[in-house]
Amino acid sequence: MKSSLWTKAALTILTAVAGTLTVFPVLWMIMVSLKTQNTALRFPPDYLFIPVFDAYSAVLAKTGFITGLMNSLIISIITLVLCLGFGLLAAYSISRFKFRGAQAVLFGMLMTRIFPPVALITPYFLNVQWLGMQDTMPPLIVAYMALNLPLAVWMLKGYFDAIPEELEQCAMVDGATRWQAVTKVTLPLMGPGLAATSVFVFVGSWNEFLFALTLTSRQSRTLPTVVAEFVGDTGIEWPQIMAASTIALAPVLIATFILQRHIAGGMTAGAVKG
Amino acid sequence: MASVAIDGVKKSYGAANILHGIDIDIADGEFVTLVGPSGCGKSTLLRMIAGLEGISGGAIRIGDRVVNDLAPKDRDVAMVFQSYALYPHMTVYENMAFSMKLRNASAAETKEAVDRAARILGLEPLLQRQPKQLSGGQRQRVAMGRALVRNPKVFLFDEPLSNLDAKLRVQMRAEIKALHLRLGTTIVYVTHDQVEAMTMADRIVVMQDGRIEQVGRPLDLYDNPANRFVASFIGSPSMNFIEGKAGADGFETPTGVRLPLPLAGDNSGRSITYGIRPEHLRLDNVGIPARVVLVEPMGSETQVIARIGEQDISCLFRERVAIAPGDTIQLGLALDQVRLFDPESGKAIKH
Repeated sequence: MKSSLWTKAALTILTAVAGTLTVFPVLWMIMVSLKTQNTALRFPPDYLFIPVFDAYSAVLAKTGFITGLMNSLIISIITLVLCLGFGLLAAYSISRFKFRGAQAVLFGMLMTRIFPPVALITPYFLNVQWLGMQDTMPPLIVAYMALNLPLAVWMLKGYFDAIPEELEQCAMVDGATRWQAVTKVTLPLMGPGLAATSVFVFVGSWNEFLFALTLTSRQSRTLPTVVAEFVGDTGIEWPQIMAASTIALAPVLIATFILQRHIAGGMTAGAVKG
Repeated sequence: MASVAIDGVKKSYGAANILHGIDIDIADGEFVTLVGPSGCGKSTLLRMIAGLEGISGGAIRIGDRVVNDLAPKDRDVAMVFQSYALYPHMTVYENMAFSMKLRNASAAETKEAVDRAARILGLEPLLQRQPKQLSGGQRQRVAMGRALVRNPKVFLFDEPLSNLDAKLRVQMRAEIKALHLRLGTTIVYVTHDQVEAMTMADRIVVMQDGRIEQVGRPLDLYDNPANRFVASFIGSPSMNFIEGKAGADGFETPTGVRLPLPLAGDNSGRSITYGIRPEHLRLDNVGIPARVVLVEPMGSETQVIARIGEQDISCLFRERVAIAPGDTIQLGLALDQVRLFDPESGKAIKH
């Protein structure tokens, strides 16, 4: 059919445009990170060149970079574990127990996402200061949890809703406690959902800049703030800032690629009906 | 194996009453079917026996133990769900072994129980398959196998055949019945299909709007329905109902059709619902005149829709008949097969 051919052509072009817009900056970042300051600023840019790793060794040698990387990892992983723990409990009860106010709880959590984080940072900073906890990790973990938990609950509730309740009920009649029914039947089927939620929550705290910048100074700096420090008074070391960004992007990219297979889904096929 | 006693059981969600006090005594080893239109509360009642729904009032006993507050896992019942509810991430073997594993049975014991159930249901070649690789009928059988492994006190079936095609349904119907004869375990079986209820059950419980309309053996319900609802629900095609009054010489409809009335004494002027099953009407030389509207030959029998007065009624003839729409036929009926109901209450009038 003529119209479907047009649709196909239009979709292909749109996909190509969207793909280019997404991928180009990443490729550019990697490309610049493999040049020297001299070659990086050349115009027109060299697309073919011999890569050098000077920028990477400079970045890794810079004071605070490895610390920032470790801080980011620790904070993001703890945030992820807490968000999944609380998120699973909250999402399960909202999805399965038809209690009064479930919708209100869900909507209330969505409301918290309406506030721009920048509006919350000043009062939060004052509280942290009063507690004498500036430049420590716990305030950041608490903040990231507060920012990411609503998203986690919403996502996980959707995934719980997608798993037929009858599977759990069947397990319970089969002799399982509710806890066993969830851990042995529902959670294994939620693999794709858990993977997707984990990526979102992890990236949320891994990339966060504003709270990290405000609440930390030396000890607990996270990677995004460390990367920002490459913008110095004497100018910008482009290859170094790009190398730092590439290193910052790597874990997220790797995790996404590994989990992508699971996110693709299709695990519940054959569960119910013919 | 155990008996099940349902004693004044009620269910309400807030102000909405779903079940209004249900009493059923199910004997040890009995096959009881709960049947009724959708929304009558039959599935809710079954889920209450399983422990998946709370009980708002009354008591349920399995054996001599009140199970009201027991968790499903402690009731020793097995349930087959309408959707089969096979665990999609486990093989057929793992599905069947799941309940044994939960109870920490040894590997040898588990294997023996699964193999026994697989042998009974012919599932041996499928044990290593995933549920998604199975056909509807095979999934159904695995769901039953999973229940069978347990050797429970009571089997609960929640419309297990409604997702199968007609041919497979007839086959599984026979298999479940044969299984019951072989194992002798108490079965409570929910269905909306009266044919399933009639063919399989020792006793049928007909429900409507959260109440029991009648409990009895299949043929008792067919022969002596307690009210108009049971009469219309049991039997296919459904019983014909004709509204009218008792006159001086028999039953008379508002349009002047006269039918013989098997009621002793003087009932002149009394409003009556006249019920006659399609299969109890026959072609006669002298009888009630009727105009043929539709003829549906089915090979083994012929269904005819005919108009008496202003009302269409269905007739089922065992023989092939040479009639066509527009023809006028004479219908005969046997008085002892007529059922009368009170139009107000719907209750059967004894005669």
